[in-house]
Amino acid sequence: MEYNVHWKCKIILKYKAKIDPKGMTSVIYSIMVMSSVTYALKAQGVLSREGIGTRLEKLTKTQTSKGCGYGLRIEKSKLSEAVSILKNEKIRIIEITEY
Amino acid sequence: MEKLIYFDHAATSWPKPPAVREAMCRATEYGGGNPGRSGHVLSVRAARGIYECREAVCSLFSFNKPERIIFTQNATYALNTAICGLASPGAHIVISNLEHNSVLRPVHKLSQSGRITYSMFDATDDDDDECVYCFKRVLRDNTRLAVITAASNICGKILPIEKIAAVCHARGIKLIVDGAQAGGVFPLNFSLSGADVLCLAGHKGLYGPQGTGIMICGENAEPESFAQGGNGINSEMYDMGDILPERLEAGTLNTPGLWGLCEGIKYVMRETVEEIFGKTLLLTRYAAEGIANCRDVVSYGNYGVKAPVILFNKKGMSPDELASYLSDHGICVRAGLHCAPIAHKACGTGVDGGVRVSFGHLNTRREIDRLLLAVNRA
Repeated sequence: MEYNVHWKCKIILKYKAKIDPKGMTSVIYSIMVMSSVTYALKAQGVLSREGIGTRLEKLTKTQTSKGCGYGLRIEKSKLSEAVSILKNEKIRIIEITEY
Repeated sequence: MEKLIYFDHAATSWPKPPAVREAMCRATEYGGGNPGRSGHVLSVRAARGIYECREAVCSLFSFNKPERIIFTQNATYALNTAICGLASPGAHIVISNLEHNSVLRPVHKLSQSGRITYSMFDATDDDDDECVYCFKRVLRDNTRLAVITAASNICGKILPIEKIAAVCHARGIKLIVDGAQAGGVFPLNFSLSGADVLCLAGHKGLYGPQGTGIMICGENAEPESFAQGGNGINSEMYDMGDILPERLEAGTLNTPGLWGLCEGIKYVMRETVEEIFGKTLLLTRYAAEGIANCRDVVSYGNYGVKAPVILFNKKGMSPDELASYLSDHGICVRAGLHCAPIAHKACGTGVDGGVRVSFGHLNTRREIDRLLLAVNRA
């Protein structure tokens, strides 16, 4: 599942988080830092075809030691599988950080 | 008023499919951010649309690495990037005598600066083996690069790229192919062609808008960066880095153009290149036969199988005069040297060049009949 969340949904999700912060924020995420937006999109496509949803994000300096960069936010429970898939596809992950 | 007849597809294809125009409008509104620069939705949408275009190029040309699809503003810029990026100091470069100025000029400029030397081979023979023989004859021990057109923009001659590539690989020579007149015009499988780099125009046979060009970079080709500037990654570095495609894409990409190009490529895939080539070949042969029977006309480049281009002159009229006459009668052609003076010299047209008629798959025999009538009356 790929979540390209419409802005209206984002507001709803934020609101739901306030009502049930435990429910909405219990999922732990990791960030796979990629070489560029091109590689991030390539990786996202590959993972999507394998049924693993990710969110493309521009990274901040607190999220990565790299300069300008893009990454994929992924549920931590799916991280190892995703890393394995991307390794098979020879798509390099620069680093993995916690969300 | 009679319908305008467009016979200038070798310059740019027209009209574009409606989906191309719609995609460009959608890009400016829905994907109006700068791709690969920001994290907001408009920037990500722009980047996603461009990535989809990379994938479309891969599908059409049988290549599986979208990250090695480089976008430029046109085929000329793609060729300059490839040539300047792969020309090593002291190298000898080979080009054919049918090359467009987008190959001749950067190669010539490199030689003028003393960086390289170059030679030309005769590619006009209809026999492929003779063409390859002529190519081999100009090779030297220090030949490192060959830049060859897939098809001539003035006479339509299709060069034996696969055979030339085999010679290149046997001798460690990199091959850049100018596919401006080939992409979407006749079947071209990048992986099977043997080319190290294939440069394409987005706005001709691929039915994309002007302002789009493509460089397919094979895994054995690592061109140095040509233009330096911002590319959205590693901004703290003083150089362009080593990651494709960003290393060769300085500055903001033409997002509306590339969204449009993506739709153009999809259109070509739906029509199929085989169908397109079949139709245009029949039109070309019909037109060539008709032109040959026209009064006081001399034609050039009469090959059996060729790109959909015919070139001719009419005695007593300059090419510009004839093109102007045809334009007055609602027929769009191009006259002159077509940015390929060495090709005109090779084809024997003369200092003024000739009149070029180039077809798309939606042209008709009726339109060609109007052309022939007008040429006879001119």
